[in-house]
Amino acid sequence: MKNIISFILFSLLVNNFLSAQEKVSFKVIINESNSLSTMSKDQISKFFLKKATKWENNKEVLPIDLVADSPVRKQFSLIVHKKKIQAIKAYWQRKIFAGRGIPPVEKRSENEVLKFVQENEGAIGYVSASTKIAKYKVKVVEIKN
Amino acid sequence: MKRLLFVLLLVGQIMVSTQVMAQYLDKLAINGFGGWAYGKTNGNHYLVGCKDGGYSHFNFALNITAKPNDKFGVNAQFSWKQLHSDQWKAEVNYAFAEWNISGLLQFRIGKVKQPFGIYSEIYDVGTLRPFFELPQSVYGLPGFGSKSYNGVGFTGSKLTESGWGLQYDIYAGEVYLQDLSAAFTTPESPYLTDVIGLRIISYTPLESINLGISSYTGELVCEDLDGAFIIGSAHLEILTEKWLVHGEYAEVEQDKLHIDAAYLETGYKVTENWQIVGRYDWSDMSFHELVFPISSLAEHKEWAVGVNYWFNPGFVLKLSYHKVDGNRFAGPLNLEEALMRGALDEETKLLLLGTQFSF
Repeated sequence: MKNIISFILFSLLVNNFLSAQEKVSFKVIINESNSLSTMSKDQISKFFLKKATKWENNKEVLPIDLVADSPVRKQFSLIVHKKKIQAIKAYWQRKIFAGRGIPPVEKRSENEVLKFVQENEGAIGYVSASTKIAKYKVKVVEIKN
Repeated sequence: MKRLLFVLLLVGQIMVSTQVMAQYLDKLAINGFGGWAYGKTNGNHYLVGCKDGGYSHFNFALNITAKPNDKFGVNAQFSWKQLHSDQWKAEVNYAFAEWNISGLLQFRIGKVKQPFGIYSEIYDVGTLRPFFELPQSVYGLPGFGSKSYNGVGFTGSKLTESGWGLQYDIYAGEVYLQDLSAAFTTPESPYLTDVIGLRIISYTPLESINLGISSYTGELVCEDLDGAFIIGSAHLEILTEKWLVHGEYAEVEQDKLHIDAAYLETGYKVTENWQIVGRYDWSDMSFHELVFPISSLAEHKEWAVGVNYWFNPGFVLKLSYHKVDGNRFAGPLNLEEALMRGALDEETKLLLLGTQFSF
């Protein structure tokens, strides 16, 4: 019995640790004129892979990425696309050279991402969860599974 | 060997650096790719290899995509390729304009990428395949499909919420078959006129699997082989983060000849960087009114194994060993002389070391 309890406690501790590791450290942002407040991971992924290109109001989606060596981008890729950045890069290589599309523009800084999303009605991007966005005309979208 | 090390160091220095990126502006994208390989065989010429060891295989291409707005786009690709000898081949691989009517319908006109099978649209991009060269049964010269057609086409795709999807291409025009013996495509190179073609790719809810069929028909203009021509193929592609499986079967039917071809290739990423690869490749050609005096000239059977090291998705080092039976694609430089001497070697072994990059 003691062993079973110990095992359960240990499992809970491990689970909490893993959950802490999986905690989302980025936030998805859209232009404040966009009426959406929640989006699914699948929907966000499709926008960034350009598998879907229009919002519900038929306006063009403008995804904006951070550069590949950004830790925020890495986290975004694992959680939203459920793939490492290398797999996403390979996906875009195929599209580019087959003449079937070009990837989203990449920005080096989060300020550039925020500025882009503020200036484009159809834009969608992501920044670190701790980044202050109050002075930009953008809003955070709740991500649902 | 010194040249090999120099090229590898130079390319590696450039490509491993994360500061070297394809240029993406809002409306313009510039990408490129290239590669270099050394190949040594036990006698015959095959792919980049020859008996004394071939160093002179280098290719480079620039790909430009411009999208002034979400309706209109222009695509172009220019390439340079060094062949076995001192010959260089410079080419406009394609240059076409595209009008996006909707997601289901885009119109293309110009020298357009020919949609055929798995690889025709990404023919020379080495970082998108497991081996340095494409399977010769389907893509070896002159090839079941060309890199481009001159004409007009429609394309589109639809992906449902459930994950099923379809991509189609319909096109018409003229196709120049690839001829390695000519440094430039000349009016005398064989070509297909009055071509109508189609490709359909089906995407499944299992995101990594897709199936496709391709076909085109036309009139072949070629000395001794004029006549109607029909080509068809079916393919399966499985792509995950660790696994790659490609399988294709293709067939050519023409008034005077028939060709069957098939290959199966696979790759497995043991780690993020290391990948092991394997391929079986087969082709058989027959003329309706002629029996080949030497059957090996119409046959190709190949086993290949290899190991790749991926520095990143845009830079890879490839080492492979190929064993070929048949002389459809492998043979001596002077075939006529070898036949007269009765010295045609039907077996070819090739060791190939190469590097390929894209950005």
